[in-house]
Amino acid sequence: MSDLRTLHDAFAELDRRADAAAARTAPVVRPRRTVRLVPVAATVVAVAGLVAGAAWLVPSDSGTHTATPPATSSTTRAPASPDDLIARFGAVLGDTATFEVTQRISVPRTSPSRQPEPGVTPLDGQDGSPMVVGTLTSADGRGTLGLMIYSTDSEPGEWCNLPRAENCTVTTLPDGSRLATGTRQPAPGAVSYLACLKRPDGTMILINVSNQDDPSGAAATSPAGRILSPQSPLTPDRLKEIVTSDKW
Amino acid sequence: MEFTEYVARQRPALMRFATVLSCRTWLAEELVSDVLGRAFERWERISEMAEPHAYVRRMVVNEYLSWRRRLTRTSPRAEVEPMAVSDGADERAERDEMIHRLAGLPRKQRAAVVLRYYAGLSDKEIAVQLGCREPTVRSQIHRALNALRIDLTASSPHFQETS
Repeated sequence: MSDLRTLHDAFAELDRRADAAAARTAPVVRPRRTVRLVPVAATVVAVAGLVAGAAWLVPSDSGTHTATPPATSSTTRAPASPDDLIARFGAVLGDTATFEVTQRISVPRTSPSRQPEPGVTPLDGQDGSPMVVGTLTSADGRGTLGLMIYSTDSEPGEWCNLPRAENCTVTTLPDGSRLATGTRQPAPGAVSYLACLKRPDGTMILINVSNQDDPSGAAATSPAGRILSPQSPLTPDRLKEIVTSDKW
Repeated sequence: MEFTEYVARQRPALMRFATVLSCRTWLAEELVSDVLGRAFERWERISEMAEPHAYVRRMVVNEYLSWRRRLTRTSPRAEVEPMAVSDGADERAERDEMIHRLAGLPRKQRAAVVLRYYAGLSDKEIAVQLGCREPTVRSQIHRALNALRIDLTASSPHFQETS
């Protein structure tokens, strides 16, 4: 006979397989091939797969970049693709840390009823909101970071309303931007920080960083709860500097 | 919460849930991608619900319970994920055997036991998810635990859905 611990171990192993599969595949969202969806299919089908192992590295010690992202200048236009987002993040991060991308995702931006008229394909060529996830290493520690930029009508404080949010506060910055910041300790020795900035133009910059495999933090018993270093690679103050950077 | 935010936040948890539910990573990908596609269509309504994630998870359960129809439309695939080769550790071998037994459970029994011991739902909540009565839930779980050869009088750690 077994006990519930063995069942839990089986669940954890299946969790691990799910995470491994998510890192190497697949469409994030697949629309049904219905007539009604055809007008928006071009938008949704373009959702990118998750590309594992595609990485650029920004060494923190030598200053010699491997696959250095293209230089960017200050701009108000939000990144349109995961590659754009990676390049922009590289400019913001500078040489203070190493970021190895493990997932590039493009998420549909709006629900169908908010799409342009049926039959009209968006002309801006942007098929989704870019999101990237990767491993971040700095002098402070090693962990994972998830970053997404998107346009939205929602408020950053909504991230504070999630059950997982702890110690989350929202402030208004001098330029009118709204900034939500939060910290949580999902397990002993684990820490996760959230920073979500909504700029006056409606652009939201969302970053989760932790010292675990899951940027949002995870239970210790989960494979994604593995602790990579004693400290997060970014402090809350550094995270705030990053989301409020004028280099986005 | 907008759909973009929901996917960013919950897709990993849905993938894990679907993998535990189906014991097949490729099927979990199919389930989650299809369900999110349908959720995308109805997102304005779903997002106004008190618990959008619970609703989407229920969509995953329903999709899983009808997965045989999907298999008839797709190329034949292995029924069970290849098991990891045991490294000789007793715990790992026992875990892999548990996964094998999970994969062999009838679909509703597996859904019931996953919703109880992975998602941590009550009998009432599971009954809603599976569209049956609470006594049926208890019966399904009882049969599943017998088939899994789990002794409930042994140690019982806390369970929590990872997200």
